[in-house]
Amino acid sequence: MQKLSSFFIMVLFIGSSFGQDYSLEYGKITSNEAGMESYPYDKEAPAAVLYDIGKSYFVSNAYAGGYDVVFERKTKIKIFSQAGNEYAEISIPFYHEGDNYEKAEVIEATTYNLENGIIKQTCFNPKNALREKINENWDVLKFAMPAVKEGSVIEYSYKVQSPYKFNLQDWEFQSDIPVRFSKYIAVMIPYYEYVYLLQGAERFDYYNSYETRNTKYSELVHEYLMENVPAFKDEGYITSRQDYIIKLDFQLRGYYNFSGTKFDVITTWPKLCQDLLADADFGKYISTAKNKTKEIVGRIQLESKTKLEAVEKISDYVKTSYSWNGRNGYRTNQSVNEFMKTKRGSIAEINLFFLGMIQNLDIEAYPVILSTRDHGKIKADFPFAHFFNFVTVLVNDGDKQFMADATETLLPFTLLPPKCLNDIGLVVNKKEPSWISLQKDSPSKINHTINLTPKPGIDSVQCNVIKLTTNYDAFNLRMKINDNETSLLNYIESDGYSLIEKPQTRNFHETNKPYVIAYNANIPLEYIGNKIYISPLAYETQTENPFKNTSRTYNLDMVYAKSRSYRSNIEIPEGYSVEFIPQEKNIDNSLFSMSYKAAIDSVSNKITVDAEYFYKKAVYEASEYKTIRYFTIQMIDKLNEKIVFVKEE
Amino acid sequence: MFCFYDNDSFFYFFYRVNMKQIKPFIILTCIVFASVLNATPNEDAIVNYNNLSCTIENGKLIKSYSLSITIYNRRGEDNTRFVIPFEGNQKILNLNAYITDINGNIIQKLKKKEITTSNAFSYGSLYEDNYVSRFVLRNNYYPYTIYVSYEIEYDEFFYIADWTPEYNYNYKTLNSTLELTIPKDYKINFHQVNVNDPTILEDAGSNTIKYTWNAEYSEVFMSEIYCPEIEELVPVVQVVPINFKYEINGTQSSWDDYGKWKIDLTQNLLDLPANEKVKINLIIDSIDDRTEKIRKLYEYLQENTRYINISLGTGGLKPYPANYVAYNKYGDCKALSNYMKALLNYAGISSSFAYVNSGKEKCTINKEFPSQQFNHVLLAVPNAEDTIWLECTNKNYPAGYFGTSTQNHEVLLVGDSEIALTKIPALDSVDVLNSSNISVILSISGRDKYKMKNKYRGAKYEALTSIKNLTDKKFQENLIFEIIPLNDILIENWEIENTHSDSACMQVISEFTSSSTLKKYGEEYLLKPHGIYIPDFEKPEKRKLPVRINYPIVNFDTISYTIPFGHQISHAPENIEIDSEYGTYSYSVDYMDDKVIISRSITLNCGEYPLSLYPHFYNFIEQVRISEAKNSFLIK
Repeated sequence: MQKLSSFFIMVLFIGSSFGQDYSLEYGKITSNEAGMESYPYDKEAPAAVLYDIGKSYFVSNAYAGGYDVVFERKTKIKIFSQAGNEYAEISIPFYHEGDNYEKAEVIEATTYNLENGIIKQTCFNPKNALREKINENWDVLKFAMPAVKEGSVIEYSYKVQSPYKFNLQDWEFQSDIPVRFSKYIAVMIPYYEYVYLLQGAERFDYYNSYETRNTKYSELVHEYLMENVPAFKDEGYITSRQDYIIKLDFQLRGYYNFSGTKFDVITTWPKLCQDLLADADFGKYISTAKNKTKEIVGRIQLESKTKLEAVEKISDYVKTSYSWNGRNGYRTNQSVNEFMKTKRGSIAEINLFFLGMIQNLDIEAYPVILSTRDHGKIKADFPFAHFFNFVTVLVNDGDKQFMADATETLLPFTLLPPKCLNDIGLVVNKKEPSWISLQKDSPSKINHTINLTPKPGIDSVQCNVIKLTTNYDAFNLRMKINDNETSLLNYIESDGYSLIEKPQTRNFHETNKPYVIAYNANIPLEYIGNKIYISPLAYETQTENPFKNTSRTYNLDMVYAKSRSYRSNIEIPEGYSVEFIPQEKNIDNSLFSMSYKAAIDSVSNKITVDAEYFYKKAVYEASEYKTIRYFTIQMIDKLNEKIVFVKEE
Repeated sequence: MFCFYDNDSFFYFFYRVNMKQIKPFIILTCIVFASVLNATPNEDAIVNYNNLSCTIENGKLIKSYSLSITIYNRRGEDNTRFVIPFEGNQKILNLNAYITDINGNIIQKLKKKEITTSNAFSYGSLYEDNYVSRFVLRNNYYPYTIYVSYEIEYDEFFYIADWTPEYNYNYKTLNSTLELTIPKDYKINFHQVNVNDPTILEDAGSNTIKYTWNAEYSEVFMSEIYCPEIEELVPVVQVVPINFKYEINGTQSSWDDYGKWKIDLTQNLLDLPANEKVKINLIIDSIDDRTEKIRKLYEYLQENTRYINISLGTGGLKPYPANYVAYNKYGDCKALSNYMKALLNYAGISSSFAYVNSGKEKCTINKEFPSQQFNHVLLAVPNAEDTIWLECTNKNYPAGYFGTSTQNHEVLLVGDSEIALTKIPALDSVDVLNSSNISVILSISGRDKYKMKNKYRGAKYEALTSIKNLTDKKFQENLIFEIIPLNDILIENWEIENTHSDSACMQVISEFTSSSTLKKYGEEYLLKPHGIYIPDFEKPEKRKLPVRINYPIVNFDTISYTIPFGHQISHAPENIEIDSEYGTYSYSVDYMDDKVIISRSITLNCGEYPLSLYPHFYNFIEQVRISEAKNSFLIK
C-alpha cells in the first residue's frame, strides 16, 4: 500500500499533465519542463521563456468614476545556465503623475527545482518585493526569485492597475532569450477605442477577436499569439533595440462619454498638427515668441544683407544667449517670459522660440517634430503622438529649403544634431502637414594634407598633417577637442605621434566653416635590413576593420554618409631610391567608392599619393552588409600599404 | 602607431559592450588594467571652498555641507550638476542653493521643483536603501558662482567624517575646512594624511571642543597608468567615534574592540535547516581528507547559490543568517561567507571572516586607525600549515583562489573569538602567467591557416571565467575577434574552457583562416607578426606620479610560421635579451624545416618606483618597444 501511495505522489509531482511537454496552466510544471537541459530551437540559449501571457481589461473605478485599466501577466521561464540567472531578477515598472500612482502588485512567484526525481518548490513572499524610485514619474517593483540554479523553472504573476488609459502596456513578443509562447489578450469596452501597431513581424501566428456579453455592455476581446520567437540579438550599428524587437504597441484613438459623444484623441496627422498649432505649449508659444522678439529681429535684419544671413545671425543669437537644460520634448513647459528670464530651456522651448524669431522675417518657416535615434522610429501610417520627442525648424527660402536648429552650439545652424538623424520628421503645417527626410544628401568629409620627410639618420619620419573636417565630422572633433589645449595634445598623441611643436587649430567657434587642426610631429622610421618602409598616410587612417562578423540581420546604420580624402607627399630621402610604390586601385558603385594612386615626381624628388573613399549611404540594408564589409577590408588593406625605399650602393 | 598586439584589448571591448551581461566584479578587474582616460586640468571653473562641519550633540551627528564653485565659461559646466546621497531613514535638511553674479548679487535660486529624488542606482545590487537628490544649477552670464549648502542628521553612525577638499578631481579647490565640534568628554580618533594638524579650541561655556583642519586641492590629479589612488595623494581627514552604536553598541579604540563588535554583529547566524544538514552529510560522509571536505563544501556553495545584494537600513553591515541563504540560495558577500562558515562549522571545520578593501591599488590597512576600512569579506580556513581563502561570491573560481583584487592585501581576520591583522598572499609570476601559442600556415594569395591556443591566468582568467559563464556564445565568439588583431577572419571552431576543473587558468582555443598577411613589396613579401602587449606608459617628461605595479605581468608568446613552398626568409630580426631590475624581455627566432618560430617573453616585476626612478623604468619599456618595432621579416 505504501509503495502505491508514494508512486502516486511521484506521479503527482512529476507532471500532472503527464504526456504533454509544456503546460500553460499556472502552477503546473511538466516533467519535460523540469528536466530539459536546453531549449530545442536554440541550444545555446542560457534561458527560455516557456510562456508569457498578458491581459489588459477595464474595471470601474468606484472612487474616481470612469474606468481603470488592469494589466495582468504570468510568465514561466526555464534557466539553463548561470548566464540565465539575470532573468530571475524581476522588475515591474509603474508610473505616476503627482500623487496619482499606478498600483503594482506581485501576486505569486515560485521557483521549481528537480531534485532526485522530485520537483521541489521554493516560494517567494510577495510582501518582500522592494520598491525603487527611478525618477519623478517612474518607480519599479523589484525582487529576485529564490533558489535559482541551472535547471530551475521560475513562474510568477503580477498585476498593475492604472488610471492612465492613453497608453495600454506595450506587449513585447520577443526577448533577449527565445520565447516559446507569447500571448496578449486585450479586453476592450465600447467606451474606449484603441489602435495597435505590430512591429518587427508581418503578422501574428494566431489572431482572434470576439464579443462577450456583460450585463451593461458587450466587450470585444482580441487575442494575439506568437510562438517560437527567436531571441533578439543586438549586432551594433542600429538605432535602438526598441526599433527592431517584435512588439505590439497600443494607442488610444478615442473614447465615448456616458451620453454617447465621441472624443477623438488622435485621428489623423492633419488633426494632430492643427491641435498642436492651437496649443499653448506649441503654436501659441511660437506666436508669443514672435511678438516679443520683433525689436531684436529688426536690429538683426538691419545688420544682414540677405534673409539667409539674418536667419544665421538669429541662430547665433539664440545659441549664445540661451542654453539647453538637457531635456528633449516637442512641447514647452515654461512660458516665453520665463524662458527669456531664466535663459535656459528644453529643446522645444529653444527651437520654438527660434522659430518665432524667424517668423518676424519675411520668410516661410515651420516647426518639424521628430523622434531621436534612441527614442524609436516614427511610423507614418500611424498617427501616434508619443512617437515624437524633438522639434526643430524647416526654412523655405524660395528654391532653398533646409532644416535649422538652435540647440547645439558646436553645429552650424543648418545641421541637425546627429541624434536627430532618424528617418523622417513631420512638418507641422496648418494646411497640409508633410513628411520630410532627415537624411543628409551631402556626405560629411575629412580632408588630409600630409607631408612626410623620412630622416634615416635619426630613425624617424617628420610628419606635417593638416586635417580639415566638415559637417558632422567637424562637430565630433569640436566636441572632442572642446577648444582645450590638453585635449588637443592628447588627441594627437594618442595616435602615436610625438609632437615637435604646439599644434594649431582654426575655426573652433566659426561653426559655418570647417574645423581644421594642423600639427608637426615625429613617428618612428621602420627599417628592415637596408630598406625603409613608410606608411604614406602616417597614422591618419584606420588599421582595424570594424565589421568583424561575416553577416548581419538588421540594417547597418552609420548615422551619416562620409568621405575621407588624402593628399600625401613623401620626400625621397637622400641616398635612397624607390623600390616599391603601391598600385592604383579604383572601386565605384552605388554603395561605396574609392580611388588610390601613387606616383613618383622626379622633379620635386617626392612621391605623391592621392587616396579617397566614400561611404555613400547613411544606412545600409542588411543584405548590403557583406559588400560593405568586403570593400572596407579592401580599402583598409590599400590605404595601409607601404612605400619602400632601398639604400643606394 | 606601433602595431602592437594588444593582449588586453578584450577588456576595452567588453567594457563598452552590453553592460547587462556583465557583473560588477569583472568591471573592477577591468578598471585595474584600463588606463583612465586622461582628465584635463583646466581653469574653466574653480571650487572656492568645499567645507564640512560636523557636530555631535545629544548623541546625534549633524553634518553641514557647504560648497562654492565659480564657473568661468561653458566648459566648466560639468560642475553644475549636483548629486546629494543619503540613506533610507535620513533626510536632507535646509537645502539652500543659489547663484551670484560677478558682483555678488543673487541672480538665481534653486526651486523645489527642480530637485528630483530617486533611489541611487548601484551597479551590482538588486536593491540598496540609498537615495540621491539631484538638481542642475546653471546660468548664462559668466563668470558666476554657485553656492550649495545642506545638512544631514544621523542617529546611528560608526563614522563621523571622511573628508577631502577635492570635489572634482579636474578642478582646483581653494582653502577649505573641516570642523568638528564635540562634547568635551566625547572620545574620537582621527587619521590625517597630506594635511597639517588641526587647531583645537575648548569652549568652557558650552563644554565642547572644536577641531579645525584646513586644506586645499591645488595640484590637479591626472590618473596615469599603474599609479597610486587619488585618496593617497590628496589631503584626507577621517574621524571616527571611539564608542558608537550601529545596529548594536561597539567600540573602536583598538582592532580587538572593533573585532569584538564584528563578532557581536555576526552572532548566532550559523543555524542551518535540517534538510541542509542532510545534504552536507551526504557530501562529506565519504571523505576523510580535510582539504577535500573544504573543497567539496565550497563547490556546493558555488553550485547552489548566487550573488544578490539587498541592503536595507543598517543591513549594510549585518549579514543575513545562514538559513536565509539556505532558503533563498542567494546573498551578498557577507551572507554567503557566513553561510559558508555555517557549512564548515557543521562539518567540524573552523573558519574566520577576512575583512578586506578589495579592488584598491592600496593594499594596506591604516593600523593606527581601527575603523571600517573594508568593502568586502572572504572566508579564511586554516588548513595544516596553510590557509585556504574562499571567495564566496564567485561561482567559478577553484577553492583557494582569491584573485587579483585582494592579493597581497592586508586583512582583518575575525574568528569566533580571535582577532588578528594579517595578509592575503601575493600572486607570483607563475600565478599570473599568460601564454599564447599560435601556428600559422602562410599562403601567397589565398588564406592563411591559424591554430591558436592561449592560456590566461590572473586578471584575464578572472575576466574570462565570467565571460564564459555569464555571456552568450555570440558574445564569446566576438571575443575571439578581439584577441586576434587581423581584419578578415573566418572562424572555423573555437572553445573557451578551464584548463582543469580546479585550476585558475582559462584557455581559448581556435582554428581560423585569415586573408593573406604576406604583403608583396617589389620582389619580396613583408611579414609583420603582431606585437606583444606592453602597457602604454607616459613619457618621462609627462609622468607626474610614482609607479605602482601590484602583481607581475608575465606574457609568453610563441608563433610558428610555415613559409610557402619555394620561398625563404631573406631578412629576420636579431635575437634580443633585456634584463633589468624592472623586468625582463627576450626575443628569439628559430628555424625548423620550413618553419620560422618566434618566441617572446616579457615580465614586468611588481614594485613601487618613485618619480625619480621613472626615467630608468621607462627606459626598460622603451627598449622593449624598440625591439618589438623591429619584428618584421622579408620573404623571397
